[in-house]
Amino acid sequence: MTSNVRPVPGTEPTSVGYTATAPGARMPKHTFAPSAANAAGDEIALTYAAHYPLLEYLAVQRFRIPDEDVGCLIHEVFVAFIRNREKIRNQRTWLVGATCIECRTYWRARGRDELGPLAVDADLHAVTEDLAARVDASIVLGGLPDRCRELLRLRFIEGYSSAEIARQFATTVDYARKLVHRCLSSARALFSRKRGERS
Amino acid sequence: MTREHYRDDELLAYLDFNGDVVDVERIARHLSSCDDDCNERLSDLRTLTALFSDPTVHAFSRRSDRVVSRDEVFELQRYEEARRCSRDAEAAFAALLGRPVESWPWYLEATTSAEECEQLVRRIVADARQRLDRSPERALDLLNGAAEIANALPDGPAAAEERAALEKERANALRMLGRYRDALAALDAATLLLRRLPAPTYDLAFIEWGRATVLFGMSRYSEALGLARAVTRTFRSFGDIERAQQVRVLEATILCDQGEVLIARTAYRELAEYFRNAGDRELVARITANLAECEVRLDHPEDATRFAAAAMREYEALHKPVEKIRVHWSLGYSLMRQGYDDAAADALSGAAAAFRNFGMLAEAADVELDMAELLLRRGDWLGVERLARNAAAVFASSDAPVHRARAFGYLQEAVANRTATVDLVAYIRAYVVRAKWDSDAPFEPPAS
Repeated sequence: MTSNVRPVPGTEPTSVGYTATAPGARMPKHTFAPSAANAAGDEIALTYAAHYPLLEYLAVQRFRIPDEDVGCLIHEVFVAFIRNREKIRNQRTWLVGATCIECRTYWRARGRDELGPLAVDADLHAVTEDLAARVDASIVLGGLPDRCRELLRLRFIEGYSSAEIARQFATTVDYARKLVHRCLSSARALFSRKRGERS
Repeated sequence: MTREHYRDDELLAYLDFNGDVVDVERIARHLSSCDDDCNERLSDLRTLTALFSDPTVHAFSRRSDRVVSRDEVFELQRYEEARRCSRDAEAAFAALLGRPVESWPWYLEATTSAEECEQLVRRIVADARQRLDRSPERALDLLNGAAEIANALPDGPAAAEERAALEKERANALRMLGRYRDALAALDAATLLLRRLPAPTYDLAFIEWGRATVLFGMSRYSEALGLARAVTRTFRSFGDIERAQQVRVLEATILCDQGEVLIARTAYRELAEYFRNAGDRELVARITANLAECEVRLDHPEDATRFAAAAMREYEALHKPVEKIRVHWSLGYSLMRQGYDDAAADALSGAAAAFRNFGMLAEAADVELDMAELLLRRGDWLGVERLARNAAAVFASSDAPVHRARAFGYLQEAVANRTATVDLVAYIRAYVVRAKWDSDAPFEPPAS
């Protein structure tokens, strides 16, 4: 019978870390400037920079991997990624799936079962998009001035009203509302830019 | 529109239905006819509100003082660079191909560094992979030579990776040669090697896929199906939907052979649609041919012929004439198995003629072996005599494999003596399949 398909089985970056841009706003971390030579190596560096925050968020926030083990775990995921690069169509989804598996393996070796954000039949693409949005929001928050970050935390996590925010910042209710408006506008602008870069 | 547009804090109050701060109804009326960006900002705010309400988002934002080490990236870049094949390794590979495989270790010991040997192993594996379809014996020969080189490499992750890839391709070659137990042993070796590498789950999925295929070849259907389903789930967990669907083709094939033909047919139809949308015409052709097989087993010979014709048209469009003829042959054989002798005879004679037109006389003789079985069942001795005589003549030439000549000569004699049976034809067919990949396999007449 004509039957089944056979199994068809650079150079250093020039900068890493923070780069100050406008006063009061910081560029997101993990920035790389690609080098002139070695396209494949540059591609690795860019892929690493583009996806590391997402994988770190997934490992730390969703799987509670300890800080001292996160870097090594993600590094191993990238080694596997390079090994299989030619077979991979959607890099980001693959990296998220691989990180989930390695995180579960990490906990299983320590006698725990952690499913993380993926239920058994979860749509990995949808989960990846959701995680990416959360990481973008984190990066946006990290790029805001400290006062804005705190204000948004009080508003959205602690559920503070404008009056409570005004008391916290020793100001008037009207001014507190204006602060909320300004901080949200900055956050919204940064978030839109981030999403635009990603698409 | 006359009202000024709303600020973000006002839209946020609207989202909170906070009537103390804003006139919620008024904002709603405004939004229904806003000619500026209020609705867009509201949508953004809705998204941001949900995200900023997640404590993990705030917690992660506080990790801003972690700086990614340059060394981490550099190490990955070096790993990537070491995996590429240098010009020296390409030159060494070209030189090796002209030498007997047994001489490779001595030749390389004198001329090549350990790093170049690693690259060379990779290069040989890539070359062998290309040859698998056309000549699995030669591919296995090259891979065994590569194994000698790999065994001499210093132990470490790089060597483990190369040796695992090598064992995987050896398993493929062995499977195609019908050496299933050896194929399983090669896959076991690949598994042990891969488990030494970081994050090997994805790599192991390909090994298990190969294992499922071998088990299917051994008719160990339950094991093959369980394994194939696990592999499908693994590929899905990496977001590799296309490969998951490819493995489902194997699942459907196993189900078909287990007798779950209706389930297999449903799966094949869905998969054909998927791969048609994905633009994989060759896989569509293969699945369509499998649908023909399903229809034969469901006693729908006309539907079977229709699907086979569709598969043949696909192969024609893909400029794969030999595959096209094989579909025709496969249809004829399946129809014969189900007792549709007239339709089978049409398909088989068409396939034999097509092979002859291509000058593929040995393949034509193989098809005529199936026709001989058909004619024997009908008691058409004259017809069988003619076919047996033609087949024997093909292998009687001085450059034909001796053992195949002996097999067909034996058949011709049995037909002339009117002692040939359907069982004898089946016996010779089994020998012919074996001899395809082991040309030294002698023909022994069946015990009488």
